[in-house]
Amino acid sequence: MQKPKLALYWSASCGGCEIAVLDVNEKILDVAAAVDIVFWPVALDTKYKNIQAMPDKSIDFCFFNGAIRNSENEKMAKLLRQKSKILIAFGSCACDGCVVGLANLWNKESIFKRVYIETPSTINPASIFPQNKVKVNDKELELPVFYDTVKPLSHVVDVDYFISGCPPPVACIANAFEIILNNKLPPKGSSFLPNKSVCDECPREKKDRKISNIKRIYEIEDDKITCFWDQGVVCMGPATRAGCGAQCLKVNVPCTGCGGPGPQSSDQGAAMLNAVASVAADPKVLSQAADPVGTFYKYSLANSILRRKIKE
Amino acid sequence: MENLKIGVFLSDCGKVLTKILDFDNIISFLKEIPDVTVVERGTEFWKGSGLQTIVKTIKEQKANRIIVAESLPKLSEIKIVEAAEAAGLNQNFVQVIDLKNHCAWPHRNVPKEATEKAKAMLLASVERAKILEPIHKLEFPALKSVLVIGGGISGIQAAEDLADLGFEVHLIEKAPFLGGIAARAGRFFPTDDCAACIQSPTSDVKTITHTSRKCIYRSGIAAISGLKIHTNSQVIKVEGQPGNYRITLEKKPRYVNETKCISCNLCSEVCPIEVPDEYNANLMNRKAIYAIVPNIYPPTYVIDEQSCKFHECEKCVQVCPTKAVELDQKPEISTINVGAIIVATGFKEYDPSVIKEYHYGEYHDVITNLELARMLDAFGPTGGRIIRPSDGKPARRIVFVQCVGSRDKRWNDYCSSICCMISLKHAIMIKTVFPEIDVSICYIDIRTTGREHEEYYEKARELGVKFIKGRPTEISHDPESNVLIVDVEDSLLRRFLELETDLVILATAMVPSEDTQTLAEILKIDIDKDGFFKEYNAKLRPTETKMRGIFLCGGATFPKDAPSSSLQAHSAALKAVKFLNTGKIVKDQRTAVVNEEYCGDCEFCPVSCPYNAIELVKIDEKHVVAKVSDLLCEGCGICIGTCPLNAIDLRHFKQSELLSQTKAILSINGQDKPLILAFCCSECGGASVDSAGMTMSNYPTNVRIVKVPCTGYLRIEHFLTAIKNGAQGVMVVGCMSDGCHHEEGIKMVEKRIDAAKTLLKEYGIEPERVELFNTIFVEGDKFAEAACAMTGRLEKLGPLRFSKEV
Repeated sequence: MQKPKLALYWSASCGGCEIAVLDVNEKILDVAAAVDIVFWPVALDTKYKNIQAMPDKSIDFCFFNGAIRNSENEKMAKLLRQKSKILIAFGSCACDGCVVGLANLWNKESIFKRVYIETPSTINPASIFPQNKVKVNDKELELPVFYDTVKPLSHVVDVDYFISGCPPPVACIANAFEIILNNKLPPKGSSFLPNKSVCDECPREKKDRKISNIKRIYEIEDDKITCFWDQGVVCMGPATRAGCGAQCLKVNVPCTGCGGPGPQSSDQGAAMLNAVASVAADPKVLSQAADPVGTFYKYSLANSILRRKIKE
Repeated sequence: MENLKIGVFLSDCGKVLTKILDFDNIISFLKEIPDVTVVERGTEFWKGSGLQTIVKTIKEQKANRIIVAESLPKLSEIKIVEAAEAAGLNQNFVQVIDLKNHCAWPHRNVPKEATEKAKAMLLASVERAKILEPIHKLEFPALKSVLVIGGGISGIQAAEDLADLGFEVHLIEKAPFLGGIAARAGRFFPTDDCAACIQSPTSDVKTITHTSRKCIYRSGIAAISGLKIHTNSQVIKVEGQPGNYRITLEKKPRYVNETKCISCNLCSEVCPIEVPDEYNANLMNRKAIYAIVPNIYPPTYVIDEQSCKFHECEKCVQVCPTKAVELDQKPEISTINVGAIIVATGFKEYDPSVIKEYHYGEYHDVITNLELARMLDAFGPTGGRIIRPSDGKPARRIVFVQCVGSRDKRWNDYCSSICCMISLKHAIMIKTVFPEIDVSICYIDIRTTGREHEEYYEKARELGVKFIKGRPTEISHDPESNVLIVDVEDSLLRRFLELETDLVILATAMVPSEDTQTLAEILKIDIDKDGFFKEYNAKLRPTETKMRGIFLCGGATFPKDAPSSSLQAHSAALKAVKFLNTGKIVKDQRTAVVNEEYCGDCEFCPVSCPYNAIELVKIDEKHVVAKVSDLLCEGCGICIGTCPLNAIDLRHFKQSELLSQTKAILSINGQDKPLILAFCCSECGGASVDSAGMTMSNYPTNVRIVKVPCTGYLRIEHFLTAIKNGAQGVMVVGCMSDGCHHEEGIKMVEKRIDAAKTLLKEYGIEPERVELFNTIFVEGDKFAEAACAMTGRLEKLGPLRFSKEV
């Protein structure tokens, strides 16, 4: 029997997801033995044309990490969708836009202005910006178009499965491989992460939930036992998909929400705010939170209901 | 699943609506919608032939979802649902909307726009109809037995009423004897009769109603079948649910067997230990084995375990002719099952020793009204004589000080309401028997608001009681003459007075009984800002709590006089009967449900539920999930608005239903003002929208209404989704901030709106696009005004433009 064909791709991401794949340790050997890796830019040298030449649906599983930041990302997403039977959004960027998606508080113009003119290390008196097309030695080269808005993978192509996390928890990756190799696929649209929230895996004790102040972690003396919310510290655990084993909490760091929204939730930040506002002692408690989007939408702004700051 | 067959019935309300709404246009629009199989037009559909048309459509044309546009939807809904259910359709498959008051009347000047809005409203109902699910009826057992906590005037009255009606009643009193604070008062106003007088049981007053009240000792209360009195007892645990509570009681040892004691007093005579008698204001001593007064229930002595020497002495054991003294009694724990609980724990006197300038506790001749009551009682420590406790000499001058610890920001803000009358009653009693005693009352305001109360004031004046308007600033003591001096400014005469007196009576505030807080926690009911038990609604449900099955009466909710306490006792008893009478509790499963697969054990929802209907249940070794009690849940949806995983939904109003309505109602526009989605609650907020129509108040058609069970249901996502789907602004229309029908709903949504505003700013959207409005029925014009103002505001802000890319 022919081995299943596997592709792994990265678009707008930090590369951490690639490392996470290797973090499954010796399990990768089983995977490697069981599949043919046909495309993996971080490890294999493959060109666009090689992919384009593949027959449609010839890749059995494609793990796509990274958000859609520019036209190349989108083009590759569409190409890989066309060539793959199963497309999996891998990691927080592909699932929810992640930190890359926080750029949605700005647009192309303001980002370019900041990056190519305003940053202290930049000297650009002629105000030259990257162009879509550029002539070099009489030949016109094309560069990807930088979009105004970062999108998660599912906003540009149909996605079959999701594994969120920044990066995805190793156990969940191993579990996903196992499910895939044993062909026990869940219904389309499922996540390979558990349906619960991080609280479900968190060893900390929940108390009365009477939140009267919001503090930052350095402002409290953590007792290492009590839920951060009961100590007045923002923890995204309640609104974040489980799977990580609450590993941050276990080393006394509040959850920042990389698992993305829960399975029923359309907006991770709003979902968390609802809960806190509901039990807050005072309507103004939440206005104490510094940087609300950075705090409550660190990983999911691009996949929230409004998706971005609206333009003038 | 069977195919959808939606029947839509449009009432033109006797053709008056046809002048505004283009019914032909609306009907042809409806007929185009797939799944809408029947569209009928008539003059009314909630009675007569109109209602028969609906029944026929269900039976013959097999319509399985019904939408009726009627006026007065709530009234007509009851009739239509009843008929539909009888025809075999589930209650939840019927929707009744109000095209008249929500569309035609307020928009009568713009008929074309109104017609488009009507279509949007109907489309929203059709979209909702497609995803409705049936709601079933539930039945829970209800035991015909009641626990009454507190054996004072209210508790005794309520217990008697219930026992007379054949209910099993357990009357619990913390003290060794019944009577409560009332019994210590000696006499009551305005009847001037004994405090120990209670209503006689039915068995005693079959024909002679005018002897229907008796002294507690001859009332036969203990003989009423079905009434079990537990003195010296306390509730320590309450488990179970309304209709079926399991109560754990602790009975402290009395050390005297209730069945054997014959009240011969021999034990008390031989007892060598004497201690101050706190029941009698420490004005006399009592023995370690004692009964407070001879006319009290139970007629059984009790040993004060603080002072008794037990086996070192045993004199009482030796002398007791019936061997009733049992020094080795231990606390007894027992459990009882009851269907309902009545809390009648009363109030107590505030301890005025914290008010340093009055030196209570330091100067022996400064006493409280209740202590004075003991002196005035013929059974009391002085046999009715008024003395100076410091030297036992007769008091010739008495000064009452009103509002001690009440109406004083330092101690208690509120007026204790009964202290003026108590002081007047005491002044009259003193003046009547001892006219030579000089009596003055220092007051801020004399409050005599009840029937015949003012007569007390008049009578006191006639008897020569002096009234001085002013709050004394200091009480001092001259040790040489053993006289007290009360410094007070008479604010009417603008004079500073130094009143020499033998006795000062402090009319202290009345405050919640001890253990009110603990009991509230055990029963999971609320207490108010002053620490009293909080009733569900002061106007209409003064003896109910938000927990079904738990009722309140008497001074437990606020200081009260005997007539009010008595009235409340009867009311609480009636409410308990109403609740338990059929032996079962029947309710619709209009409740919240937690999807256990998604519940992440964050434990926010149990805290937000105003009904304590959510508990945490262990489903396996590692996982805990929230679970909603169908019995306790009132279906408000506050938990839905709280859950950070969106793992809770309402059976009768799913979030998908709200979403489909939101999308549909914004999808048809037909006018050029900025679209506004107004989420209104089903109570006051919704009623104000109704009344805007009824009062013919105008507001523009851009305002689209979606009703939710309670504004506490709403999540920030609902506002954002409305904006995403074309709303330029969102109005949340709910009850007044302290008038939410689900206690906390409006406060919850207020906080969520605040959070939403913070978010909107980050998104570059003006926060004033989402606003909360608190209204009540009579403020329909206010709703219309708010809708116009919101429209104007949004017009000024200009349209929201989303990037095409998104």
